Amino acid sequence: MISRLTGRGKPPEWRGVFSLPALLYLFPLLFLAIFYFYPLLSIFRLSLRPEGHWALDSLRKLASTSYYLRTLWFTTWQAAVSTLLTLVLAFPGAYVFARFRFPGKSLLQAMTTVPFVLPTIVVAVAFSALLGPRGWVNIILMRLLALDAPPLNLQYTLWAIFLAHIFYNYTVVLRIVGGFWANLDPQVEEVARTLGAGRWRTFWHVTLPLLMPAISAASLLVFIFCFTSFGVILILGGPRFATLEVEIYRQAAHLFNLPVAAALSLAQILVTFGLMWVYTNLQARHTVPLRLQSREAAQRWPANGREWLGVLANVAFMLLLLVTPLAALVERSFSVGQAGYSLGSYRALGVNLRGSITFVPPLEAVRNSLGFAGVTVMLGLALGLTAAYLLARERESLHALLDPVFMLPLGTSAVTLGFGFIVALGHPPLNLRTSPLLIPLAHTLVAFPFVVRSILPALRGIHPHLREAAAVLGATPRRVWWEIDLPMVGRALLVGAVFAFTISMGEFGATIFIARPQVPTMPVAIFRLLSQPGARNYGQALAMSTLLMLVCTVGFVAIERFRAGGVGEF
Amino acid sequence: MILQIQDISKWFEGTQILRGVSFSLREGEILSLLGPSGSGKTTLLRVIAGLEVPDAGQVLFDGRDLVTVPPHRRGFGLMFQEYALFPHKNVSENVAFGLRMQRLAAAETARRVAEMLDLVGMTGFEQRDVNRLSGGERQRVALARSLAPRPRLLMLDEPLGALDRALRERLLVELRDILRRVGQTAIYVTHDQQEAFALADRVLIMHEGQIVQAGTPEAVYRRPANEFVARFLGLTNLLPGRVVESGPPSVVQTGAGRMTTEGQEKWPANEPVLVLLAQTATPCSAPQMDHNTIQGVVRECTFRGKDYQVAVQVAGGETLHFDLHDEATKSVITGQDITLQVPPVTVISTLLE
Repeated sequence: MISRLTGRGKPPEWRGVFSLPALLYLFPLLFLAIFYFYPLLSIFRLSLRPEGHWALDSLRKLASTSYYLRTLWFTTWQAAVSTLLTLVLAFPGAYVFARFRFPGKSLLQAMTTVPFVLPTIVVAVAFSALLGPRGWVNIILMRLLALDAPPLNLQYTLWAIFLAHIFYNYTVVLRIVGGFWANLDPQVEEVARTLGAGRWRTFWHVTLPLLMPAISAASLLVFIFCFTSFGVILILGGPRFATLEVEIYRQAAHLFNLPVAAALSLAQILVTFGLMWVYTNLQARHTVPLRLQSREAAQRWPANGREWLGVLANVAFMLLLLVTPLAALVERSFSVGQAGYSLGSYRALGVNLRGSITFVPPLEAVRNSLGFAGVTVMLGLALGLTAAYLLARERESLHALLDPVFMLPLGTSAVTLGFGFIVALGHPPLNLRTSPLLIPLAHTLVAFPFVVRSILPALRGIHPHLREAAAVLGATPRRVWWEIDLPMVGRALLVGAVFAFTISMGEFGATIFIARPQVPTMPVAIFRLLSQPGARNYGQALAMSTLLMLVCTVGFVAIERFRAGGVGEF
Repeated sequence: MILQIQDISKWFEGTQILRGVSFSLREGEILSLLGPSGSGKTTLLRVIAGLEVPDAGQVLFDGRDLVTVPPHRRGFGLMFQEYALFPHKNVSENVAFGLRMQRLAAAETARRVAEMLDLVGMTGFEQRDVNRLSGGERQRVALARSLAPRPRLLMLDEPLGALDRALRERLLVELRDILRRVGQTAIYVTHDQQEAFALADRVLIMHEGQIVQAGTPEAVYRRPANEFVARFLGLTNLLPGRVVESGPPSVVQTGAGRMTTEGQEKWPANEPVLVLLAQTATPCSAPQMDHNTIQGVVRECTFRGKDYQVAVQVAGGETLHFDLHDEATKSVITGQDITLQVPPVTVISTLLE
């Protein structure tokens, strides 16, 4: 009753001050208008009216050329297979995490979250270090079988793509399904057992239906990620495989066929928006009023040998999946192109070899990335905080309208965003082509939904009674904000900041479009090194990827620390 | 009168939550707002605290209209049902909050915090994390925090509602002692009549946004103003009837027989009324008088420790409940007829035909 009543009716004048000055709310809205909607509309215009009048040629060409249809088909089915594989492999892990305690669990839990922030480029390089011609698997096989040439080339195969996608999305399923499962009251299952349902029937008729919202949400999310996969396909798939994303990039950056790229982007946008729409609706159902338990209460130690075996098998699989590629990356970074182990590849990062395309020494890219990330953090926090306040205000109709709008960048592929920047912001009326702000702006756009999502729950979690209690005790509205809001949101602000930072450091899809050759970021520099032949360049790519992995891992460890209070929802 | 509430009305989304509520409060008085959930008690409290703006009416404190005064300048205390302790502050920081807002000197603040924690028996808990306190401890901290700035009026919104029964009864006694010791003027909102009766000098019973009865706990319980109040207080031995002798004492003809009424009030003859029967009664073998004798069928007999509760269905269909002592129940057999002698009844309202 109380909570239903608060905040409705005529708002008392003092309450208005709790929210920010109305003018500030324009800030995130304007940002999205200029840097999201305007580029997107420019893509639409380019694909539908390339010369100022309606021309559907490029679209027609798209629909009739079997190559593009094949691209769309490949994009879809590789995403579907990746999703299915991920789901099947991660489901037992989700169960083990949800229901059991075992030694080293919290460490493993932290480790499984690492892929979530690893830049695609790092993951791609790590898998090439594992499966590529100079990778672990081949080296071991060559030694065992005494071969002269690498027997397996997984690098440019579907399997490499699937593996990388599983590596990436295992965590997503583990987090969403496992988290939901852990909060499910085991008493519900116990009741089913007492009513005569066997183990399997209980699972089939009680547990699985209850988990369904989480499973479908996780599958959709994984599907969307795989559908818009770019770096993994570009690097691990090689020239034989192209998703829509890769094709947009090739058409725009290599063939300068902007209308076709725009038409592909349009198709991409329509599909991802459709999927995002479904996802949002699922999420709304996701929050069915289940009686949720605190996580710890539902968990116990494995009781018998079979349960221990299940736990161990899953832990072993997680370690194999998550650790080997990264370990291969690190090990190879010290050994490729070297006699034995050395820091050679790292030292070479500071040197400009042969005056190659990378005019700047790779180390310069580290500096660029750090600078861009710093600006992204500031922009992201300012925008994210104002947007979160806008959403947290009581007007439900406004919230229902704006919440999906603020999430839109999440549902738009980075490649499309980067392409949109090229199309829209490279000429008057708004020419930012040479502005040093262009890259941080793109990164902010990508990070924005994450920052909002980090802050919003904390802001909403402040029970109105806390502010009211402070007010009744004599705190002015400003004082209430300072004493209650800020300390309670502070942790979430830190989480948002780290998100913005790591996302900026690793962003690849948009940056590859808009980074100027003389100002590369770390992922762009890695990509360039990879596309040049020779063990020396490859070694440097490995070294740089290792550095980037380190930065992002530290970032994520920080997020996990700050999130101890259960801040953040995704 | 330190607080005067005049004709307060409040609407929420087309529903009128408060319908012209008026009452007043003396300095040092403890008033209880008693009513079922949804009756508007909490909203009324929030209006007084300044957290809601009434659509009509006045809140006068010391003769001054408060409606435009924001909550932080009213100098009242409000204790929320779930206490609303600041989770990012420890116990003494919570208690000190109101004092800091008053810009009290640090030494004075510390002294006052210590005094308050002593008052509620929480000395030694100063540095504790409030999230790790038990329900009873939180309640004490919340009370200390509300009392620390010496509010001229303390409002408590179901402060014991979140606690289990045994703890509630213990804390009720403590709460009463503390409020009395401080001489606190207070409004106590509850849906539990035991709490209200134990704490309050005066009880206001609310129903659907209105005050339906006001008075001392005894007066309210002895003479409920209408059927709603009677039933809300658990007084369910109600029988409709018609005045046959206006007296005094008046006599009412009910479906279960003729009843003499208590008190010196005269009721107009032929008036349809509702009478309340006490729960005490004595079984008797046969009707000794033609008045206040009830005959019926025993429907149920429940052992309750010190007595039995017997449900008797009387002519007219109503089922009445009586508490009978041990030795009196030897003759009580479920399904058998019983004759009971009852004390004079209370007329609680006139019925509309």
